[in-house]
Amino acid sequence: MMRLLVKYLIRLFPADFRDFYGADMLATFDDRWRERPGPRIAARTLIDLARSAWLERRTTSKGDRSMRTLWQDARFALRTLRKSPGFAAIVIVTLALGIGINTAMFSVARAVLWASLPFTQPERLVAVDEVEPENQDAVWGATYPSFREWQTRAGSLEGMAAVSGVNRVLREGSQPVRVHGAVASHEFFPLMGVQPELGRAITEDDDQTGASAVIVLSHEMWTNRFGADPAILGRSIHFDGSTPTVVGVMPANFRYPPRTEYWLPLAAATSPALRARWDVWMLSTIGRLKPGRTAQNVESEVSGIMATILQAHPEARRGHIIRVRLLRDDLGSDLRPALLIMLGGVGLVLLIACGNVASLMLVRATARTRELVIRAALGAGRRRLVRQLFTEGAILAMCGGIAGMGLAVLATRWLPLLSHDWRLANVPIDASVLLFALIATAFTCLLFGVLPAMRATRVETGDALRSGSRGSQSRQRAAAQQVLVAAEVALCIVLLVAAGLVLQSWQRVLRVDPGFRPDGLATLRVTLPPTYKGDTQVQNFYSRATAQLAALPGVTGVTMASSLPISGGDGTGDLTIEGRTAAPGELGAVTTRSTTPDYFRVMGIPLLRGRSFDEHDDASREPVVMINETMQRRFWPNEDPVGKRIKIGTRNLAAWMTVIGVVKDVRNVGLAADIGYSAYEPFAQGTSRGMELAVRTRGNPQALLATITAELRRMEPAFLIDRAQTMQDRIDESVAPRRLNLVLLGLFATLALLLSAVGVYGVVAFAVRQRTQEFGIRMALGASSGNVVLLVLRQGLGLAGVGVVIGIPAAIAGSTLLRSLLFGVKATDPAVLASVALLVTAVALAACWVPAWRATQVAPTEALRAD
Amino acid sequence: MPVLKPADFHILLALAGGPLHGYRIMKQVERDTGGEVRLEIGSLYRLLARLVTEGLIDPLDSEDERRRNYRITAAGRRALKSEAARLANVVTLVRARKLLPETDL
Repeated sequence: MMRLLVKYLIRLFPADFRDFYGADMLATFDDRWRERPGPRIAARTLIDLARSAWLERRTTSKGDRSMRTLWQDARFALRTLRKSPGFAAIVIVTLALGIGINTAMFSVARAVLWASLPFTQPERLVAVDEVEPENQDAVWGATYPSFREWQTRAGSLEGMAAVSGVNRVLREGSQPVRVHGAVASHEFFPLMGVQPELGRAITEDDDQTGASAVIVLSHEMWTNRFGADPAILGRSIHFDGSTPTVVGVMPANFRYPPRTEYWLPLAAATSPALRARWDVWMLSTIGRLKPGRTAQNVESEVSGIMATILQAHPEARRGHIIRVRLLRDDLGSDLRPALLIMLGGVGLVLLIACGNVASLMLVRATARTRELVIRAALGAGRRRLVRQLFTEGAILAMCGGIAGMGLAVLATRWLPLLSHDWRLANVPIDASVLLFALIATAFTCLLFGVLPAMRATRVETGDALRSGSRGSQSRQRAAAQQVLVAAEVALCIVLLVAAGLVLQSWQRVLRVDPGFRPDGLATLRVTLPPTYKGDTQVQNFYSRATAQLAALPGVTGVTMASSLPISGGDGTGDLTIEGRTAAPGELGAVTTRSTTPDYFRVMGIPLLRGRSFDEHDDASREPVVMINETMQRRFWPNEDPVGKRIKIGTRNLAAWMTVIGVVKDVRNVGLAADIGYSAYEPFAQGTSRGMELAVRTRGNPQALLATITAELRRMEPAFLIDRAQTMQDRIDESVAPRRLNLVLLGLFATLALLLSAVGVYGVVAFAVRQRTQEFGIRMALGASSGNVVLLVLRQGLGLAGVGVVIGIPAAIAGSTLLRSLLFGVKATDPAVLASVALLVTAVALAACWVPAWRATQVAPTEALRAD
Repeated sequence: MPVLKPADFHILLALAGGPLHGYRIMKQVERDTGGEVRLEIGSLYRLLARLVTEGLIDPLDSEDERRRNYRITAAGRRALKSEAARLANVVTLVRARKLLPETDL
């Protein structure tokens, strides 16, 4: 794309120069671009090329008449533009905004939704998953035996591989760190079609139970954590619990699943018992389509295979359906709805910007009708006049384009500040998008700059001189302009309604009762080293640690859970209730977390029924469990659940647990997520080395985090401590994507509103200028300035009114597309619609204020002389 | 000998070590001047074209159709030398008048 631009610019050089140096220049550009691509180099190259072509033409064509005219035109255009800096500035800023945010947003979309993946023929790679039929975002993946069945029997696939994300604690530096990686079946690397940069990939021999442990590193892990050590092959990596040997390093950017730092062989890293189960969904599977086959082919084929599997293995039945989609679509799927809406938003802004530029150019051309006609009368040819205006339009478009490019670069740099999503970091500016925005706006500029000129020069000279700026032509133009601005207002309303609805949703999300008291809570994720063996040793350490922390000044309570509320992330298992017959999974899945006895007190979660855990509920006693309100309401709506027995997890593995209490619902997965069935078991009966700590403090929890971390490190230097943050930070993090949507939509809507205000101002100011004479006469005949102001405001109100009448229904129609971003608010929320209509009207009236005031300042005598 | 402009001087200096093609010249000049003189493609080729017209450098035919090498001519070498001498002179003058300490140069 960039190359095309360069090629085009080289064509601007004089012919002799181009013939001799053109190919060479392009080659030099190629060399440079290959070595150092990037927006800064791109901008510098393009600007320099345009400037050089210009200079070269000027020097070589001193005697060339057409060049001289161009030069003259440009100078003249610059001069006239300098005389109306307000007009020039508004057009340039409008263009820059339209071009800038469109380029930025589409570049993001391209990077996220249409990314070119670093695999061989990525368009033939598909993700094959079991999903829930009503909620396809609930992805279960695949069980190991089903994966093998699909792999051997799916004829529309060339091959299949399975991966699954894992976390390991790496102990290489001074502090242990948790690193994210994947287990991958040996088919994975050949399937993706990528060769390691160093050494070899995982082979079939590695991928066996009992094989010696090996690991393949990503380029990123190799460089960031091992300093790109050339002797890395054959080295052992120290993970908690294993020390695999490095056999290969993958090339840069090869990271699948996303952000993976390393790969372990599937069979060596998972237990054979789990791999034998038809009801343990632990894998994501990828297939490579045979040439000519589609994802739909695979979907129906695998669904067929699944049907026969379910007959032989009823325990695999969960009512799932098979979903197959292109890997590329799979990767961006969570951001897709929001991004598409944002694209629609910036598209509207671009439309409004173009409308504004068109309307401004129309006003200007009309105001200059007389100048043009006089110049024509003095002998300027029509072509010459058109060319003159064309040059003016081109200069505006160019300035706007350059400013827009700058804005786009800045916007993509700023985006990571608004969101921590890794996909939004380092988004490259997409040249084809930039080009599109440039062409769209330049086209608007030129068309609306030149059209009036062409028509003006066709006018009978005398006629135009007589009618001044009030001729029938200018009336037509005024009508065109009013239509444009009313449309702008309508588009702006669509955006404002969208932003208003998202804002409402945001406020409702923040008002959601989390089910516990988040203020004053410090939280940490901690993992003990594997040197702590056996539950008792782990329990002893943690009870010492919590006691120690509780003694710190400012601390009022300390508790632990396998995972704390809001961030989600705990295991789920199928529910079984003693005495009720149901197929596996029929009653639904329950999320379980293990907690210390004082969890509910410290977190501020009210106990509704029965009792909570105490120190006697340990491994020597019968297993007990607490459930949330939602579970009680669903399964024991009219009876007391206390004393009932349930199982959570695979039937013949899990133990019976007695329900001892019911607690209030807690938003465990995030403020806006469904609550679901949730259960709690005592830490003493479900001990694990990795836990999350919650410390309730009297003052600011942030201030205590460092003290707490230091205290824990002092007790156990090999302690892995990460995610040290306040509960409020966790909540903020969980709503960050929503905030990003709000900020972006709000920004676009504000821009649209400002641009529309400028549009309304343009129309009204133009009308006031045309009616100067009329106002003068009215005032001479005794109209008060109030009458005149009303007259002007009425016009602005009319524009806003038409805009509202068209815009509100359009917004209602459009906002159904927003549904995925909304929470607790209907797309037709009357409060939002009414406030948007009011806001737009108020802004339109404000935009009329200056012209209205100016109209009252007309001195009657001057007005009568005006034209 | 006319005074050479800094960019011309640096291009000639870059070519003094042997023929180079466009991108290598760009990089060499940037390295020689510590990034002080940056030639983008358009400017570079305008300068090259002028130096060719003035007979200070010659385009060479090469096997690679698209990448052309440029070679400094005898006249180019003379211009480079005289400019270098002039610059050296300037430096001596500046030093003699104690405008710069020796270590800065």
